[in-house]
Amino acid sequence: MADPRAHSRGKLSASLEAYTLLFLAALVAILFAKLPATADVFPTAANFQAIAGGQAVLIVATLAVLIPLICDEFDLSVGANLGLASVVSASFMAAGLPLVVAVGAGLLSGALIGVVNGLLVTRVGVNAVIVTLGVSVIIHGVVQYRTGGKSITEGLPASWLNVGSESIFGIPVILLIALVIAGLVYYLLTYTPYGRQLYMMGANRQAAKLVGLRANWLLFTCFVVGGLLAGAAGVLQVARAGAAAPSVGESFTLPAFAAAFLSAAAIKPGRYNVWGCVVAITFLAVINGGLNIAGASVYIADFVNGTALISGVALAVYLRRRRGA
Amino acid sequence: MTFRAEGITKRFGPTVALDGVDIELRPGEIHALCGGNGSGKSTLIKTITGVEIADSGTFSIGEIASAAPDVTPARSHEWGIRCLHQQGSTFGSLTVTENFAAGVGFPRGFGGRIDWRAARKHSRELLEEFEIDASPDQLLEELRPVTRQMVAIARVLQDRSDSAGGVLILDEPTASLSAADVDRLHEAVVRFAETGTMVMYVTHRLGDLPGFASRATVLRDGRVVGELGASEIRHDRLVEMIVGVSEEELLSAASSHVVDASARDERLVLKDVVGGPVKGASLSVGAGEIVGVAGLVGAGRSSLLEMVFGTQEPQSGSVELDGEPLTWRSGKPHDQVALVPENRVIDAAFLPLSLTENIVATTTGRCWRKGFLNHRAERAEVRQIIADSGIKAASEEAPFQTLSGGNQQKAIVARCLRGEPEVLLLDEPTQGVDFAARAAIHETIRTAASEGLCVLVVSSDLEELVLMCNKVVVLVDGVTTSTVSGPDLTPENLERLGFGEVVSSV
Ligand SMILES: Nc1ncnc2c1ncn2[C@@H]1O[C@H](COP(=O)(O)OP(=O)(O)OP(=O)(O)O)[C@@H](O)[C@H]1O
Ligand SMILES: [Mg+2]
Repeated sequence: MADPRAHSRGKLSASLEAYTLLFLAALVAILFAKLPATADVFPTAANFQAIAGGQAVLIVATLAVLIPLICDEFDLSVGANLGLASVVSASFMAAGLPLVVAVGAGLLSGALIGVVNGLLVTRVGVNAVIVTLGVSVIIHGVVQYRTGGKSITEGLPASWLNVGSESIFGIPVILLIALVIAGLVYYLLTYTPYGRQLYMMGANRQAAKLVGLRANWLLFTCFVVGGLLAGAAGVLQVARAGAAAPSVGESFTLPAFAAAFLSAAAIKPGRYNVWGCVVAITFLAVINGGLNIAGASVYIADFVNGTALISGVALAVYLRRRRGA
Repeated sequence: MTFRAEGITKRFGPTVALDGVDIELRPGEIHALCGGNGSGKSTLIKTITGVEIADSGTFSIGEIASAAPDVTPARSHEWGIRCLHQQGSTFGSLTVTENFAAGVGFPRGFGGRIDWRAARKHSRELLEEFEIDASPDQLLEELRPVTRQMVAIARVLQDRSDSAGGVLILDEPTASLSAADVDRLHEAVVRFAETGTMVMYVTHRLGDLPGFASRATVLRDGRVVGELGASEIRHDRLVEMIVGVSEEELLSAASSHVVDASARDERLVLKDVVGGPVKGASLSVGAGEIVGVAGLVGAGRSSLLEMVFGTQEPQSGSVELDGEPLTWRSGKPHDQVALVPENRVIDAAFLPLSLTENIVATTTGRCWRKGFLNHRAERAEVRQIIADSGIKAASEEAPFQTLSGGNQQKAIVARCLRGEPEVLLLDEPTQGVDFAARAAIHETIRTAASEGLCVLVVSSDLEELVLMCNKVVVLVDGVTTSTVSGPDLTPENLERLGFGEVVSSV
């Protein structure tokens, strides 16, 4: 039935599918490196560090979106949760508490929001979109109330701020941290039964229950793990920005969703995956970074991210259909 | 006027699903399309209806011809081609009228509102025209499966311009119907054919075809192996063409299942179980025993299995395994019990995930070594399972949805056995499964049983129960009325007992 030539053709088109987005990113990068408007600045090490460093927080935020998304649940509170964690950890740092405690507090606040989301979804049975949207609005209110709308900039320890600005062998430390976290999430999703079970939950929840998975427990934990990652993103954001702005989180929600959806169009086509997220973020970052240098207006970034979100989903749906629906 | 498909070819990546298929339908004929699982039947139908785009070939109806790749669902519809696809879709929670409207839309009244009176009238006319025993406001889920199937057929046929001519395609319409219901459906199909409709009919129940089909085309691996006229359509002949070996060879490979009934300990014991449609069921299954549950649809067969599985709570009575009660765990299945559910797509399949992930679904932890899932070991194990169960797929990494229906079913059975359960529950285990695969599944289950597993199987296919089981318990209106075994175990006896009749020799 399957003649070998046809088979290698199948393999080839599969790997084409897997790396299309990466090729596109490289193509765009080359374009900006050659284009007169950007050729001076774009292909420099400094610019690479700026772009790469700037994406570290987004990578972690995207992973926070990814975990519930694999379970077929939306966590719209990731941005707000990130903002809360950065304010919490920054105020602990500013109060002179040890760094470990401050970081821990940020992570804990993220996980706790996840617990709240998870309980509301599994125990009360409210739709996750509603729950996380409501929770994010509440978080926003609480943060505004506590900070009076002002950023925390004073008294942050240099040791933590250095994490956001230093590089090792030209690679921003904060990016390395984000990649390590991505590696851990990859391990969780690919090399543990738990990760498998999340994918099963997303593919067919009814069947997942019937093969004996603890559906409610998995659902609950996906929000907690997602919350923890949002917390981590918030703590990193303090290092990156050198401050904790009360509404910093909102700017992350859309790009994180865009990247998480786009991940299904790269590396492992047809399924949301960690390295697909990283590739998607690279793709978006190269475009945004280039446009930025070219002096394009800020709203261009909105335009790019919005378009990427929709076309990413469309691409993923198309790939899934082509692989047989 | 005839419908002709010529040289239809369709590839899915490396898989050649159809390889130059020719078929001709004639007015007034019922043309059976036969072939093993994954032989390309559904794919051929999908190319005819424009759901899948063929790579090459031509279709012609009467004088009109069209290149096969140009066929769209709209054009196929225009040609008068109507199809009930394999995973026939009716909406259980909607009424008959709403189901009819799902095909063509509701009649509209002033301001675009739905004209319910006209809609009901239309559906009453349809029910009458197709001789369906239902009322417009009944919910589909309240109807008998055969009636539901008739509603689905009427839905696809309702907007033909004239009742004569046109093509009606039925892809496995009888997969979960009882023998009596199959007859009723056949009567209806014969009526359509008599009005001049060209019927294409897919089934794995080869025994249904002699005397019913006027012609048969057999597919194997995407190629036509032959066409038979009405007089040549015989069970053994079909099997030989479908599988490529004779029926005797196939059956001689399967060992007969002999168990010594007296020397066995009872392992699974149900006493006066009540819950849902089950009103009082008692039975026992010994080690290595395969026990069937017969009865009409609605007699509570599936509910009975669910109460043993642990997803439905018994109101009273007891379910014990080896003397230990299987206690209710808020709907979580019991660890020692595995179920092959009746509805594969809704209850068992993870369609977007790979074949491997589907097979190891209940046993993901098995290849977990030193903190890592060993993917290579997992794939090797799965490759072995694929070979042993005769599953046909592009690779072990193929998305589950690209497997044909019968191959998905084999994979679900394999999944259940991989979990090494004490009790295996099977609900219509061989629906949509071809002759050879059915024998293979039976053999797999027998082998598993011979190692001491208890098997409880529900099937509308009474022949299958007789073939597989040591004894069969008959459920009538939720009550276990009798147990048949030995020489009394015949399809005829089961049929009569299922209707609540008393069989003298029992
Ligand atoms: N969307 C798809 N992508 C890849 N392969 C496919 C796809 N659909 C079908 N196939 C392959 O094409 C072949 C024919 O499948 P098809 O569903 O037509 O079989 P079938 O004769 O209807 O079988 P069954 O009796 O089990 O329903 C199989 O090998 C199947 O795996
Ligand atoms: Mg089929």
